[in-house]
Amino acid sequence: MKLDAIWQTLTVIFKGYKLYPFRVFLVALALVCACAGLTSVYVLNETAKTSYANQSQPLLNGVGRAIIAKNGEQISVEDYAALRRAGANNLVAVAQNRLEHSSDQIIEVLGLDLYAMMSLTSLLSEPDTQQISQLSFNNSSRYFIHPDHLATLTREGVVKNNELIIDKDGSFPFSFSLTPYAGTGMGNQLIGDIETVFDDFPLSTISYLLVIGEMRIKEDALPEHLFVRELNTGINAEELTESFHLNLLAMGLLMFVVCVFVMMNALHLMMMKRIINFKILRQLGISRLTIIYACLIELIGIALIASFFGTLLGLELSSLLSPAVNQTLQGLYGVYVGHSNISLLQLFVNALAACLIGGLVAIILPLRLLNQRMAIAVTDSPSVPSNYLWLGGSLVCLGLTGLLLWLSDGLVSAFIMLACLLFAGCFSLLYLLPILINWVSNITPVQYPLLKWSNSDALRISRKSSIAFCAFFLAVAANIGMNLMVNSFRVATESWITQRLNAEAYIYTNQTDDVISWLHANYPQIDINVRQAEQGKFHQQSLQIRSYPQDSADQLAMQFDKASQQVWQLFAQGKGILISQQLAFANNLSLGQSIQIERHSGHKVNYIIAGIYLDYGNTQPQVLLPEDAFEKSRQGRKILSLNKVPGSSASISALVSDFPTTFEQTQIIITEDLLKLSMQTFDKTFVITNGLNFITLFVAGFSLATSILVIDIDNRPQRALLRSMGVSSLALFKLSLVQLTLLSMFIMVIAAPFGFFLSWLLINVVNLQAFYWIYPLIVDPLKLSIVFVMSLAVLLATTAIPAAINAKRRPIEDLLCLND
Amino acid sequence: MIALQNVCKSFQDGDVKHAVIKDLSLSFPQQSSISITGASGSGKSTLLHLLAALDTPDSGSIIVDDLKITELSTKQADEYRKHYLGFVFQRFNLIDCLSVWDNLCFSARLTKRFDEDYIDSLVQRLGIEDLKHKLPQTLSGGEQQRVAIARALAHKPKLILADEPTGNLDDKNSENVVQLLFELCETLQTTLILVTHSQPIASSAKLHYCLRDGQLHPQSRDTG
Amino acid sequence: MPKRLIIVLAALLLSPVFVWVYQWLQVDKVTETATGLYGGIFDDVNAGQQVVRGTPIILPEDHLSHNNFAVEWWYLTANLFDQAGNQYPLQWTLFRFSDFRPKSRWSNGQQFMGHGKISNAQNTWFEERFARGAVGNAGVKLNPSGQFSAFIDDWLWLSDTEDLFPATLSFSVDNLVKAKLRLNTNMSYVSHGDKGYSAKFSDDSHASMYYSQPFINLAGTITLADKEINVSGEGWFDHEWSSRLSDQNTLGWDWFSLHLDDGQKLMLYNVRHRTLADSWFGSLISAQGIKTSLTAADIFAKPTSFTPIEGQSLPLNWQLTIPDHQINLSVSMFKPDQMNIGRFSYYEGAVNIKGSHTGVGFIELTGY
Repeated sequence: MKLDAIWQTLTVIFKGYKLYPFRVFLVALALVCACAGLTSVYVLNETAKTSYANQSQPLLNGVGRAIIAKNGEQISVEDYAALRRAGANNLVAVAQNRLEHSSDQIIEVLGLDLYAMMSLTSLLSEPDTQQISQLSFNNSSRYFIHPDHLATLTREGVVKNNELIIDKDGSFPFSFSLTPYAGTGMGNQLIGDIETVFDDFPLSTISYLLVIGEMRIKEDALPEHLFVRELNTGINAEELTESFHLNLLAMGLLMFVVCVFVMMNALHLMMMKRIINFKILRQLGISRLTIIYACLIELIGIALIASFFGTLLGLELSSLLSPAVNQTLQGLYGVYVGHSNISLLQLFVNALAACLIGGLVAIILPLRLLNQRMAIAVTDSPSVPSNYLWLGGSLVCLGLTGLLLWLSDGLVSAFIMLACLLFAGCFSLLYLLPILINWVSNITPVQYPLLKWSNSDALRISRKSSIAFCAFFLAVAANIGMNLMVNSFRVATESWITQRLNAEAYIYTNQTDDVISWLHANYPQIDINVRQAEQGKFHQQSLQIRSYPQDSADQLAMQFDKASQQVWQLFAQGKGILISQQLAFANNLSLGQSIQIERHSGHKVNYIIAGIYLDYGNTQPQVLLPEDAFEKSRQGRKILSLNKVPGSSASISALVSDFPTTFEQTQIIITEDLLKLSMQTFDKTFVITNGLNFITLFVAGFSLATSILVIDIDNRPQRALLRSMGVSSLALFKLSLVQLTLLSMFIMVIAAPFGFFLSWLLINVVNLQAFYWIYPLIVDPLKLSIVFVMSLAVLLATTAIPAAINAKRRPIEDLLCLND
Repeated sequence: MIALQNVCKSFQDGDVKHAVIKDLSLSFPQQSSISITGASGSGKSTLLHLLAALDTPDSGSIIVDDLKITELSTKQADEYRKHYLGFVFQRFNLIDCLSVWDNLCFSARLTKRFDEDYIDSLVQRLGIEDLKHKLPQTLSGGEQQRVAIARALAHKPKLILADEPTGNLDDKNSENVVQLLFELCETLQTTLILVTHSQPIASSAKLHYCLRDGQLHPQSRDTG
Repeated sequence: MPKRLIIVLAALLLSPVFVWVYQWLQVDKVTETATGLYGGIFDDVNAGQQVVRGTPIILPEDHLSHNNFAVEWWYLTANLFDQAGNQYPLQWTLFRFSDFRPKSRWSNGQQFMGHGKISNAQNTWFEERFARGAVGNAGVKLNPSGQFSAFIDDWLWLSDTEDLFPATLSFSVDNLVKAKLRLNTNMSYVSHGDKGYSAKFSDDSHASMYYSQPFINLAGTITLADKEINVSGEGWFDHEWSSRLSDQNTLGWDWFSLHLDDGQKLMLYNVRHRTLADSWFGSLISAQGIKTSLTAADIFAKPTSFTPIEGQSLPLNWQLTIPDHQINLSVSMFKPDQMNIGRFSYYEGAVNIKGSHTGVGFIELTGY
């Protein structure tokens, strides 16, 4: 019976696990890591997309708008009641407050009008209404917190036993009892009823009114001090954040691909270990197909187990990463993302599908090789493909890369181009590595026989671990590419922001007139410039319109990508307009072109493009107009820049110290601190990228190291021979480290140009198409060195301990295999 | 002179302890050829490993040219093997990533006793001139063993330990290889201790012992 | 096939099921621990002023809110008809609950709940709203012009004077159906029970102050799918307040408000209790507005059928007999699905009357 034969083969396979547990573990580990990476990225992206599609806010869906008070005004409870009585009963009042914990953590507390939410049963889904109903009448719970956020705060020591204790002034603690609740759209906040929040925060006010569904009263009917703001949700949010999510997906896929490589390598090693037993089975009459079926069933079993653990690990990873991701999305794009409520079963099924696909891809080559080896009687070495095959492959892929670069018109083709480049790199590695090793081996003086042996032996290792080397190469190249790109962006941003922030301090406020009055009264020698802002339109798309002063210092502060010679004259005359790089690239605009913009009032004005300036980090298109082009409207006067009047004795630092705290929603910050904060925010934005980069490098390095170690196990006869010749185990250990260093140096040298090219593509193609801004590529030797050192450190760290353990083995143990 | 004094060695197999060498005391003369035979599992290879300081006896001492090798540290044992010994195994004698010539010179260069003329003479004697630039995997069994012998002698060791050097060869090759080994050792005044299953090969040595019941019993060259 | 292989394959194939079970076990279960009818909200919670027999109902002052009492409602039901004779049952209710919480910017110790419902033969539109008393979007009071008003958000009952009638009622349900109606009457109010003191149980332990206006003429428009329909009909208004309407053993009640074709109005009320006998009482109001109190001895009421509605078996059809007044009625539902699904769900449905009299009315069923 064929099934009997399959079962017998499986028995042999399972019993072999105790002989090579490490290889089996490596296969499973690779799958678990592949799954975990992909699952975490899927959860992060899907949660965000669900939030956008559902127009999620905490405990609410379908929120596309908010009613906000204009500059310096507030929404009163009477306003709220009046609006509801006028027919806007689909409003929910929200009070936003912040708590500062003694660990410097800022905890957001939201008060929602749960009574208003209970009234919206027709607009909310069944589970939402149930949970709102429970929350509103549940007197024993004052604040609700998503379990993931609770876990984060507990981990950070901010919450203990579901109690958050705030020691307000050192005299007595103020405690918040928290109830975990995984509600729709809940994010990193504590949520309570607005009445509770007003009780606990006496200075609290209504921050905004969320509009559920469509507006039920006309905007004109709103009181003068209130207006409607569209929130970034739905399709708008999806479009805005598309590149961010693609970036995450790319990282997840990269990790998956590297892990598939790792798995392929581990399966290869495993099959080679089994070949002897499989040949015996063949001699006993079991067909090759039966053995292959058995291997596939084994793979399915490993995939099932790996996808289960990978899913759980991925969920844990996503819950660790989601606070940073959500904060980044909110900071960069102004979108709101809650925690995930994705079904575990759905994730498991996705993970299983990915595992099976990845596993099947990974097992093709090893099975093919196994099939070939089982078909021949003698243990011939498998034929090694000609080196020219790799050279040919590399050139073809480079050609494709060039072609796509020329033709590329979208993000998808850009990603395909990146993939072609990386494949070209892999083929180049496979072609160049043996050549380089041979060269080194040839130039090694014969007076150093051990070194010569070590360098020659490196060729054997590189041949047997070519897949693992490719995976490591990919990780190193991707690291170089990403690091250079991020570093270039950082340098460009820092330079731009340093130049642009030419004032000594800035004030952000909702009470502009009051603040100006105070400044005039107390610091008359401080020069104040009010930055005007309004929302306009360009070709029906939303456009930021900002004022820009024209004195010489501000002219020097502006960083242009391109500018006409009379830029400032045209600007001052009101004929010229300055547009951001984003607007220029997105709409194919160039210097000297005439454009028409629509002001907030609806008035359409024509301008000539006098300059295209840098505006990194702003996802919205923007233009600058002279200050006198703005009406003194109350909206959009929230930023004041401060400078000492030349020759005065006024002190900005004294002003900062004296600045009263009674102005609500007002912040004063000196430029130096603002720069630090900006760069800190920048660094935080790329924390996830850096994290994923490191994980990928670690996984690939781990795989390569383990692959080498496993091959080393098979190299025991050679080790025994060398030991018998008096070569000490310490010498062999040092030589293996030298070997690894040599191999990794070669990989890094080959990876470097591909990494540079990758970085250039990321900046000039992917970044440009995603964000519509570019910056110069800067190759920082220090950054490059860090990547190299980190890659080497990962490899040596993962190899050193097992190699040291190997070295401690007595020579007799190695010798025993010689006479087998 | 090589002297074994009250050497004991046993191995644990589960709860049972097998004594393969029991209170062995014997001396071997220098510059002689000694063969050791015995049944499978009698401890022949164990004895060679003890003589190579690759393993330590449970008790007793082994002295090789006034050097008590049973009391050497790991580092000293490595040095002893490097400078004093040459090893010929049944297989896996050669470093597969180095050419024949590099294999031949390996130990000599390691011990800084490289003598090109001397190695060339070994190559001539063993008839492996045409193989110098080949890789070991491309050689036949007999060719590999001849190269192994040359490699073992290239650094002019005082003692050659050969563990079943003809185990993988056919009779004709075995005879040739062993003949060469004996001749070279005699010419180079190197002590040879050879472990073998083959009685004819054992009889070719000047001294023939049989390891039986943990003791070395001298055999006459005619006895089987 | 080897058994072990089958077991292994089965375990592998069933693993998604194990995952699903694991997930199901982790799901937060929303549980309500209710005590008594509707979470005990009508129970004697040892708070609030008690109604006292003999306290007169003084109008129009008593049309307003009695904040010292735990619960109160202003309850309008009406059966409206368009010119083609299509029936549009309507309910508009404003509930007030005292929560006895400390006063704050958001709380003045009172909470409001509004129920608005409009039906036709094919559909039912129901909306439930909540509000806190201190916010200002719900209340019952005289406006600065001295007009009576009862409102929650944009649902508004605004009288022309301090009296309840004449008045304009405007409300919408889920922004889909709107009603704007004029309410008029020229009849006196009816105080039930003992001059408005309405005992709920046979042991007189629970009671409310309860008066009605059963002679309301309504006329106006209902806007349905942007189409305005002129409607008119008869309505019934109840105003009741208490601090002790029920206890933990109260199972629920059945309430009827019926407009008979000879101009008489009939109110019947039955409280179902775990330990006490069913307590039927009511009022028969003549076409001239004269009220006759009915006791359990006068009323013979029996459900003739039970219909499963939203998981409950409800007596939607009744036989009501008041022999001393030659009233023998078969009361049947306008249509079965007239359940009010909200925080507190109950059945409120229009009925048609046949038998000794014809007519229309409303039935309320709770606690099934």
